[in-house]
Amino acid sequence: MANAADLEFYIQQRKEERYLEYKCSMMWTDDETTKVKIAKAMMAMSNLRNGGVIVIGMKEIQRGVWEPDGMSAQQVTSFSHDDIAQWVNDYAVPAVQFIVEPFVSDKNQFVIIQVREFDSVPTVCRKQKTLGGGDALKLGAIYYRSNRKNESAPISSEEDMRELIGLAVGKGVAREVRWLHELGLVATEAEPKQGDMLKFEEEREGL
Amino acid sequence: MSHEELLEQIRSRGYWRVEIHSTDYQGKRLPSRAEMQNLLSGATVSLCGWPYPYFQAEETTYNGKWLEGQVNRSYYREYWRLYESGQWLHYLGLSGAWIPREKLFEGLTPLPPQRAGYLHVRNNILYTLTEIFRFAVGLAQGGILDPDAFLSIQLHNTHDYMLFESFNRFFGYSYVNQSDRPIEQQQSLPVGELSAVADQMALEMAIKIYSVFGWVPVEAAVRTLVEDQKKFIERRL
Repeated sequence: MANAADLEFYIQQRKEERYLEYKCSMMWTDDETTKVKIAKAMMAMSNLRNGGVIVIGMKEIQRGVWEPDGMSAQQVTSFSHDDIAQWVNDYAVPAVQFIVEPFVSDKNQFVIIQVREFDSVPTVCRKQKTLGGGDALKLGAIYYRSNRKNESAPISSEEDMRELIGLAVGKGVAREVRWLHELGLVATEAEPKQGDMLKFEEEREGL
Repeated sequence: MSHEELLEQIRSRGYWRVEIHSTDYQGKRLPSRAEMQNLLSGATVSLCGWPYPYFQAEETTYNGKWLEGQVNRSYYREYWRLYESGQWLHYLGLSGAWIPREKLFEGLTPLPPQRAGYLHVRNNILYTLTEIFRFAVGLAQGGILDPDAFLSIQLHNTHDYMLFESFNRFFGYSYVNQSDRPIEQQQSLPVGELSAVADQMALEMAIKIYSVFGWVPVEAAVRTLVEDQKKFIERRL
């Protein structure tokens, strides 16, 4: 779990990263557009290695440059974990795991949502959401943050797909390896042989 | 300049000492110059800027037991040997130890405090370590580290050196190494695991070095380092 220094760092970073998304001050209950934006970002973050972070209460002063803006107390309290989980996980499967924390920095209030990386299989959008006649959330979409653009969008390139599959497969392999270690079927660390180490040392002639 | 003189220069300021070999000594893993050069041309890591190591086949010397290379250009000083056994030994000067403060921080007012040397958090530490570990993967792929690889990476002479970040980043000038002792990491592991954990090992060692300088990166900073390392590896810097 992040500490206060982490949360401060996220705010002071002032530029979005793949794992870090900024949002302007808003109420969770404002409208469906807000919820869709947050849900997309959370699903996308959950599909990244190490997950990601959404900071609400920032302002984009010029393209790509953000500064702390702050939120009203009413805006902050509107972001309750239960409400967000209920709404987002109605669309996300498996459920997105996250923490919501209010945070004060230099007298400004923020809401910071820390999203955990998926456990075993990537997060998929399981339900369509339509807003203003268009698709706001797409059934079957895997939301992702590409390494080319800091944007939460359905996965669309083979490179991103390969990366995500690699992450999921790696998790599976890691589980198997842990199991083999627990059973004592594989050595945990190779032991250097003293006689051989001495020969390498002699070869270096004191260098 | 003889290699002894170059080594003396390198050791007079901050430098890396890198030793990589198998845990199993076999005297003739690389019995010819051609095999050594082929191995190095495949294993050399060139992700951004100066490669690791500096290897130009025509500038190397071979004495029947080892191949050696050196460079002494601008702020770059290196001396390395690749032995018949497949042992890699490398002395690499820190460029931040040789660039004058006024040049390194050109345009910055006021200049950071005067220190024995300066180390950029990513360029001089994280990225260098990433290259070293990836180079080890290259050696492993060349078959000279089987069955298990031994790596010893040391950072020497960085007492009173200061860590710094790019100026658009959130960072202070307060991280200075107060210790005279070398910072070292030694590890042996099966070659099959090396490629899977190399980048992570580089990151972990970088964090260990930062902590000696007094900077213990918070989780958020580590995330940024992970992303920066990824950009470096994918040549997106």
